[in-house]
Amino acid sequence: MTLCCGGPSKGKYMKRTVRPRWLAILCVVVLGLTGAACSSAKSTNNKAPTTLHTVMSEEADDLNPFTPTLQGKSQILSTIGMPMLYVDSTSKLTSRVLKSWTASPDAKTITLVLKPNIQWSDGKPMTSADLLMSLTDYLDAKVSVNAGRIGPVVGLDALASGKAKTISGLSAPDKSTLVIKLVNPDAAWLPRLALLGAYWPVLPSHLLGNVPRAKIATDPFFKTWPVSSGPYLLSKFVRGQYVEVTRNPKWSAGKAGFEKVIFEILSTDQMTAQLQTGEVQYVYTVDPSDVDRIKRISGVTVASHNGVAPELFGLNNGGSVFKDPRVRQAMLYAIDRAGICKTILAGHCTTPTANLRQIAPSWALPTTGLTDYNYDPAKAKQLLKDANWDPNTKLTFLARTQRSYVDKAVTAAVGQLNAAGMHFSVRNVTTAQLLDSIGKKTGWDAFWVSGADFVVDPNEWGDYLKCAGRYPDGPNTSQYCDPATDKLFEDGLKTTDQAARASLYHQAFTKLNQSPAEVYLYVVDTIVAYNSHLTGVTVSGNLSGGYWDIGQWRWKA
Amino acid sequence: MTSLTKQPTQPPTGPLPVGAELLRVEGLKVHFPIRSRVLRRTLGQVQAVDGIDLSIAAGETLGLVGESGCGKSTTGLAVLRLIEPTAGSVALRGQELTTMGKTDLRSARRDMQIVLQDPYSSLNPRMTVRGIISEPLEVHGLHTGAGRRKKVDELLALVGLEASHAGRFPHEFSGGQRQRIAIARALALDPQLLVLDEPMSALDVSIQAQIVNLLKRLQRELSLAYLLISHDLSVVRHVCDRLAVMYLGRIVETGRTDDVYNRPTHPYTQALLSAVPQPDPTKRGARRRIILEGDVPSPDHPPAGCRFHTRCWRAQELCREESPALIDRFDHGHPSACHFAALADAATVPSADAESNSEPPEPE
Amino acid sequence: MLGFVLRRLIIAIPVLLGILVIAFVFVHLLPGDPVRLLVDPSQLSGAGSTQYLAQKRIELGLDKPLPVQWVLWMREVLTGNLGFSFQQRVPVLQLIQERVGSTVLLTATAVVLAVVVAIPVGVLASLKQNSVLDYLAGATSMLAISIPVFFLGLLAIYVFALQLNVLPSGGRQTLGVPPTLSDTVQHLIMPAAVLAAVLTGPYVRYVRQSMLDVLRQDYITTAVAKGASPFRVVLRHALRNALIPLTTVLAVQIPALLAGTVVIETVFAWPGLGLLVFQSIEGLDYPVILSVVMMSAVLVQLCNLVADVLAAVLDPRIRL
Ligand SMILES: Nc1ncnc2c1ncn2[C@@H]1O[C@H](COP(=O)(O)OP(=O)(O)OP(=O)(O)O)[C@@H](O)[C@H]1O
Ligand code: SF4
Ligand SMILES: [Mg+2]
Repeated sequence: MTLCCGGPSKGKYMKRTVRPRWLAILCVVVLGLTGAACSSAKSTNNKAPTTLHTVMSEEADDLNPFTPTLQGKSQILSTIGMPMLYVDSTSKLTSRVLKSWTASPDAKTITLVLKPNIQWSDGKPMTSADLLMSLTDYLDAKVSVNAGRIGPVVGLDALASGKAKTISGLSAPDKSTLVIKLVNPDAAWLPRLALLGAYWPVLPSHLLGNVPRAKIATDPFFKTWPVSSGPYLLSKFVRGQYVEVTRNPKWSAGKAGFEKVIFEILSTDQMTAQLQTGEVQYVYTVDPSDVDRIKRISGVTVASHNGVAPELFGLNNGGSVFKDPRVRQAMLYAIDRAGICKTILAGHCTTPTANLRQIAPSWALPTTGLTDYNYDPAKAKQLLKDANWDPNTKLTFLARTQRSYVDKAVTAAVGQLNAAGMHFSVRNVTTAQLLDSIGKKTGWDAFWVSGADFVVDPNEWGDYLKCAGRYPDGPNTSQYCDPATDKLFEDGLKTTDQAARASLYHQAFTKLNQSPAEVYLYVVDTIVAYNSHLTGVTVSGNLSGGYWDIGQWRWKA
Repeated sequence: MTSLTKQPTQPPTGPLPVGAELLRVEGLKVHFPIRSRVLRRTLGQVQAVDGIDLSIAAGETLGLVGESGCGKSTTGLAVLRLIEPTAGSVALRGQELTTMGKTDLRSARRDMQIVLQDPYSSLNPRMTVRGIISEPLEVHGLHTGAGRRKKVDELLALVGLEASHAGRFPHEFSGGQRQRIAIARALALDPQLLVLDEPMSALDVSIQAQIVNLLKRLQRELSLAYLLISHDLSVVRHVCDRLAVMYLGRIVETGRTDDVYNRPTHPYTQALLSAVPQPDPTKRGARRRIILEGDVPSPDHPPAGCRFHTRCWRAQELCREESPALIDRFDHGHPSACHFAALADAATVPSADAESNSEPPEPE
Repeated sequence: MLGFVLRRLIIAIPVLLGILVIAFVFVHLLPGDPVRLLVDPSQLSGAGSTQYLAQKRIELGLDKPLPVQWVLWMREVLTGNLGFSFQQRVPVLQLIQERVGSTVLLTATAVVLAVVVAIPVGVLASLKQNSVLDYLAGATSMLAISIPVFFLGLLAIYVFALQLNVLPSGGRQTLGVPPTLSDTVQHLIMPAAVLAAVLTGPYVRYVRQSMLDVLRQDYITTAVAKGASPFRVVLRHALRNALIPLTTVLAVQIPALLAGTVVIETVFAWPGLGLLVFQSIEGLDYPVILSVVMMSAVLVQLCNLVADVLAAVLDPRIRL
């Protein structure tokens, strides 16, 4: 069981956009050197534009909620559709569709209640039948790629084996209520639904109810989205170029601020240039290394929010190299993580000093008894010595060319590890090679990766470290396995009582603080830039954060 | 045939009577600047042609002979102002060419044409034979449509080609045929002077003879004057009325062909003629072959005094200091530029009758 | 000529088949599993995703033995669909159709621009050999060749979009409004001009060298001797012959040129084939990679054929 994706850092392994590094570097040179002249964002005219031009960091290669998901797609889907639940900028669960969402104290029954008067763009009311059909489709692993990422619902087995056509654990007692019976207690079920919400907009059963489930994923509906429920409606999808949406006059939550919104994919330098010329008015996201340059354009506002996930070095815990926790601790002391954050990321980041991937919610994190791994090369060397580290051990670091600040951070960190006596040689690989290598479990020792969302529910981290989730079955690419920790995470799901859960997670995180699974380098801020005439933008660190409140955006002359 | 080709395109002034002076060249110099690669500063001059006098009468053939690089082609091109002369005067029918404006010069070109050595390079590969031959007519606005076609057909017939060849491209012809095309083109404007720059030397020996005979016939029929550039002394002797021998940009001896051949006075001419093969075995032993020593000096730094002194077996102190004038020292009517000019012994040079009429006849 | 073309086309078939076999083997030798690349590891969920991926593997035909896969791919080629993109889940033909127009528009404009500039400049440079103009032309083309194209692109964006604000920074059209010709032209100018600038340098040198070669020919001398005007000598005699090798160079270069537009497309956010190629290699999208390889191979063959035919049409000395 896992959870994904997004966060400030654009997908974990795969990011289907091209921002060649040299472009960014050169942009710094050309535009940076002449930065003084980078005058102001030219707003085309004083009149409020009817079309808003925005830049996404990642492409949406289709708008089908059943196919593998990239962040770009989720952002468009949460603009044209309404997620059942989503996460706001303060990491709280919220909804524009549901009046209430509750879990029973034993965490086995979930109840969702629709708000009254939610309607589809064709004027039909949204009912619990829509929720029922949508969830049935989304939970079917044969049609929906993300089905397995949420705790199992009663009756799913029968659906999978073909014995049943519906999921018995889903029921709609009345027009506005959906009841979900879970197989196992799962206190994280609702947070998980919220994180998947952007990929799982409610679907109109009056249009799709008769489509056989085997065919739903290829239904032409998803090419055009003729009916939806979000602030904007899909009007044009040009693959690899842009998506155009038009104001939904029947949006239940009010009136969106623009007649049209365009979503584009642009390289860093194009994005900067077009922000300055006024050709685009909103950019999600800005790399920390570009912030200063963009800040200098007057008439452009740069806003940021703490990120939701650290970027990290995955370690091959399956082998013998990192068996001794002191070796992993030594790595944390050896790398000047605060320095990297300050110099390479220009401070647009936070440092997870206790090396916890989970960075919120605060109730779940222990406040005492944690070791802070501050830069201390002497201590690193001592720990290696204590662990009888053989300085002749040859280590392989799998590197992929990334955005410039990542490459710089990786180079710096690997250099500091070498200085401490851990001799990594860097091998440049493609994503395909990386997955191939970590799938084989040998031939590598560490690699860089980013992403996911570790602020909503503490269970999120657990999914990345479970013995059962070791890659290639699950997302545990570091091959970490400690049954005792697994048990703590499992127990944490069995009750909705926050105090009871907190004590379990405190134990788990303390264990992970002492026996680090991976090296968490820094948490990049989520940074957006927009024309200062644009109001109502609230930056969220979360996955669909770029556009989660797009219905509220307005143009102020 | 003569009338056919002549009548429609009478040049404005009409042909000169045979024997009247057609071309007069005085003090012609062509110096090519030598420039440094980068700064384009002039470092020196290649004195390719350095002050020569020539004259050609209507209907006459003047042969220009000399070793490779002595400036023969440069002279030919400069005479037609295809290269700008550095100094001197070139007068065609009394009209000064060197100072002539561009438009006048272009119409003056009707009277003088050129045939070059390499028939593979002298015909535009992308033009048909008809295009090549009719272009001069087109350029000068002579004839139209059918008239031009007819003229081309006549010219082809004149040089011994068939009218059906007109649609073909140059690469479809042999070297000799191409040279005929080149000659037809040169004749299209009914010129009075043809500069022939080694027109045979790129061809097989048998073909050479055909071209020689063609040229001789054309001269007879059309009263053409030729400036024939060649280093084939046997051909020159066979074809030319008069001869000018060049060495390093200057004329060293000139006169009627027989006079020069029989009584060469300049050591260089003597050396040249001694190298001509003696076809008559009975006379072979009698002739002394003069072998010149050393290389031809470079024309960018020609020797002071007599330019030949570095290789002359007769050279004296004077030769190194003073440049000899081209004067007729023996009243033979053929001047030479040598301080110590001496009439050669007739036995040292090949006799005239040994060479004549040795070419096969031109096929019709 | 027709016989030649037919013969060449027939010879091209085994060549293309060979290339396709090699390319097919080669893409399968690329490290990595395309199915694993379909889902980000962070989205894996044990049994559920294992089931999903297994099903994808079957749907994409990747469970079959390689020779069978090759035959299936060939069938796709012959039906003209070129297979189904793993990553983008649409027929490859559609993907290519969506983008090829932009790339062709950009490349063709750039080539035309480059040729229109290069011919007069090259001709003048050859006529005034070693003159100031000649040196200037030489130096400019050296400069254009040695400046990285993305730098030139960024510079153009900086000057014309950011400072002067006269041209859009990138893209192919103003989004959100109906496309107009003038809008497309405005978007096209900068990328086409930058690409043309890069091409012009070598073209000027080809034209100049080719002209110098031709001007040395005796038929130029004889043309002058005929009394032809300088204009006529240069255009009818020299240029017409000098352009023959240039035409061949142009035709043969076209495939490389299309490949070379990738950088320009990226710099100017020009929605062409470049990005598609890049992404398909990243994502081990075999059908897309193979289609692109195949298209390139076809293009190379075709361009060579066109070059030969053109040479024969232009140069009467060449017979096919
Ligand atoms: N365009 C030019 N620039 C510089 N030097 C030149 C040029 N043309 C000819 N020359 C030089 O002038 C000299 C005379 O050349 P020219 O071609 O007139 O000799 P030639 O007597 O015709 O020789 P050949 O019998 O080999 O044809 C040579 O030294 C040659 O290198
Ligand atoms: S002048 Fe002197 S060097 Fe010159 S040819 Fe006569 S003898 Fe020889
Ligand atoms: Mg010559």
